[in-house]
Order: sequence, then C-alpha cells, then structure tokens
Amino acid sequence: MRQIRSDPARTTGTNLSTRMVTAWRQGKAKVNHLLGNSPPESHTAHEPTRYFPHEIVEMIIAHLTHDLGTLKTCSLTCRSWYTATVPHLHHTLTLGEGRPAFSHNKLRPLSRLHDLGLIPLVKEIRVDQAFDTVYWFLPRTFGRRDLRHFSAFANVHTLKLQNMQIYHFIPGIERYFGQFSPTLRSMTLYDPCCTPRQLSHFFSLFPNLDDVEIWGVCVHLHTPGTAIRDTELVAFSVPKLRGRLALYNSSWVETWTHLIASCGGIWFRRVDIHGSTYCAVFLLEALSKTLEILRFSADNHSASKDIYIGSYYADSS
Amino acid sequence: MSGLNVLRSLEVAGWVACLGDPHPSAVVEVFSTITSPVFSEVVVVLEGRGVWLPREVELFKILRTMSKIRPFKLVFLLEDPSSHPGELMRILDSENTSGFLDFLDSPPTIRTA
Repeated sequence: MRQIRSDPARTTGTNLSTRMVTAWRQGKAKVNHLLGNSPPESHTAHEPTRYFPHEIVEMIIAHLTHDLGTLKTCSLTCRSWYTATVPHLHHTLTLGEGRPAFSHNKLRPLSRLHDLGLIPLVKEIRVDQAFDTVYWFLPRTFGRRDLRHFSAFANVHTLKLQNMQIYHFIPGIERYFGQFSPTLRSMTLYDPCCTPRQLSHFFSLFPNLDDVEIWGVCVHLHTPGTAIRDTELVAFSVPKLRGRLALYNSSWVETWTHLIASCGGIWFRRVDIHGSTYCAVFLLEALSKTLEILRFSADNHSASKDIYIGSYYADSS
Repeated sequence: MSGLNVLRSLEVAGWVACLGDPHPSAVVEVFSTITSPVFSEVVVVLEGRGVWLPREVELFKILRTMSKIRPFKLVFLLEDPSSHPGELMRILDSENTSGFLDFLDSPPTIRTA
C-alpha cells in the first residue's frame, strides 16, 4: 500500500531537504529516460495529491492533544508528523509528579528540556506538591543551573501551582517568576500559603494576567522571619484581570482590596463563586461595570447557609 | 450592594443548595441588584445525579419570586455528558412540572455543556 506522505518542502522548512527531494526526483527522471520509461503523469514533481498538506496533519494531530500515548506514536511516524506533534507533547511541564523524593531531583526535567532545546515549546507549567508532604518547591531547591533553566521559559501562558509557599519567595519573587511576566495569561493556585497582600503582590508581577483561579482556604501566615513587611510590598505592574475569576472556598477580601488599591481596579468579566465566600459582596461591587456572567455554586451536601452573603451572611455566621 | 450593570447571565450550580432553600438566598439577593439592560437568562446548572425537578417545589417557588423582580429566560444546563436532554425535556413538558413554570414568558431552554 502506498503511504501518504506529508509535503516535505512545507514541513521540514529547510532548503537542504528540499534540494534532496529535488535531486532524487531528477535522478529518477534520468533513469526513466535512459530506460525509455515515460514517467506516469501523476508523478510530476509538484503533484499535490501525493502529499498530505501539513495543515491537514495539524488538524488531525489537534484531535489527539489529550492522548499522549497516541501523540508519541504519531511523532515516530515521520519527520513532518514529529514536527506537528512535538508542540503538543511538550505543551505542559509537570514538576514534582512521581519524581524521586529528593527535592532537587524534582527539578531535573528542567535540565532535560533545556538540553533537548524544548523549553520554548512549554506553554503550561504545573507544580505538584501534596498537602501532607514536605514542601519542596522553595527558593532553596533551585540550584544555580535550575534557576537558569527555569528562567528560560519564554512562552508560558498558564501556571498551576499546588500548595505554593509564596511567602518563602518574598522578597525577590520576580527572580523566580519574572520570566513569565510578558506571556502569562492564566494562573491557578491550590491552597497557596501567604498573606493576602503577598498574593496580590504576586499577581501584580504578571501584567497580562487575565484568568485567576484559587482553590481552597488560603492560610494566613504571619511570617516574622521575612525581611520585608506586607505594607512595604509595591505592585510590579497593573495586571489585566479581564477574564475569569474562580474562587473555591477562598475568602480573602484583603487580596482584592490591596490589588485594587495598588493597581487601580479589577475588571473580570466572569466570576465563579463556589462555597463560602466572604468576599462575594465586595467583588460584585468592584465588578459592577464589567461582570457579564456570574455563577454561584454550592455543594449539594453543604449547608445552604454557607453561600449566604451580604445582609444574610451576618445572620448565618 | 450596587447594581450589576452589564450582567448577561446568572448561573446557579449545586442548585438544590442554592435555590431550593426555603430562605432567601444569595442568588435572590444578587438577582435583585441586577440593573443590566442586557440581562436575559438564569441558568440552572444540573451536574449529573439525574433530574429531580418535579420534587423540587422550592426551586420553582424561588424562581417564581425572582420572575416578579424582573423577567428572565430560564435555561437548564446539563454539564454531565451522560445525561439525556430528552429526559429533561419530557419532565419539563409533563403536567406536573409545566404548572410550576407558568410564570415564564417563554418555555425553558435546555443546553448541554
């Protein structure tokens, strides 16, 4: 069965491969001429039907983005399929998941990606650290080389950080996350550990940040050992904050008051409020001119008083 | 609370706890503050677990109360991919349920996520 190949001239993008194909075709034409064979009409050099347009390959591959096994298989088919699959294969980098127990080993994928030149392909970074284990995503975990590699991510648009100890990174959080400033659009935090002001300080590092999702009750930590007071924290920039805000049992008002005070406002168009939310009234006030879609969620098993806000909240508390 | 000036849609998930409560809920309070001229729909998000509509009298009572504040289109959003819109349609069309929804200007809409 004749294999359908992708158009090499479009997929490889190199003059070398194009010249090789042309030379091969010319050689084949000479042999056919010497043997007296007239080449079949369908075998002209620019015949389009023998090749799968790269756009079609990309459309096919796009349907497989959630199937890593199939993507890996596709990447082994040929060079053009590899080219189409590799951005999806390395779209998301997960640090900490199933890695050896030592903290520095959890950053080992950074070196591997750097050595293979794959860092520019990473669009999303996830940090997995379970609540009941020793936290490892800390400044002291980053060796000089780890930090250099971590700083090389220039195309990341999504961060998902689990149990991040933000207060450990302050002051100087821009040293670790500043490289994401131009590109970061979306951030999800699961049980972040910091003060409310430190959280808003962290958000202000990303001027293009549109979507924010916070899960869990943020633990208010007093951090007497830190070299800078909360009141001394200055916003790095004014984040856009024009997309979606989702709060899941996260009730800090001060984060948003501080963000509004230091950055001039928040402009979310969609808000999802799940569970007990002290800050619902404040947020709805602040977003009265921009909010287009509002979703209230409550667990069917939770007491309904948990979602009361405003005048009713005082009664239920 | 100041009015929500540009709100288009109010969605309620976990609706038994949110809307099907006999006391005034946050949803109703927020609904009463909507001043947006483009507001059009209240979306009740059904997250699996089957459709209990005929039994949830309180839900319809609250919706009726809300319709007195301002009219709206009622939308049921099925988020569970395994749920059947046809089953919900049949329940909504049944006499037991349709009587509860006679305050609506137009029949409820069913959407799937």
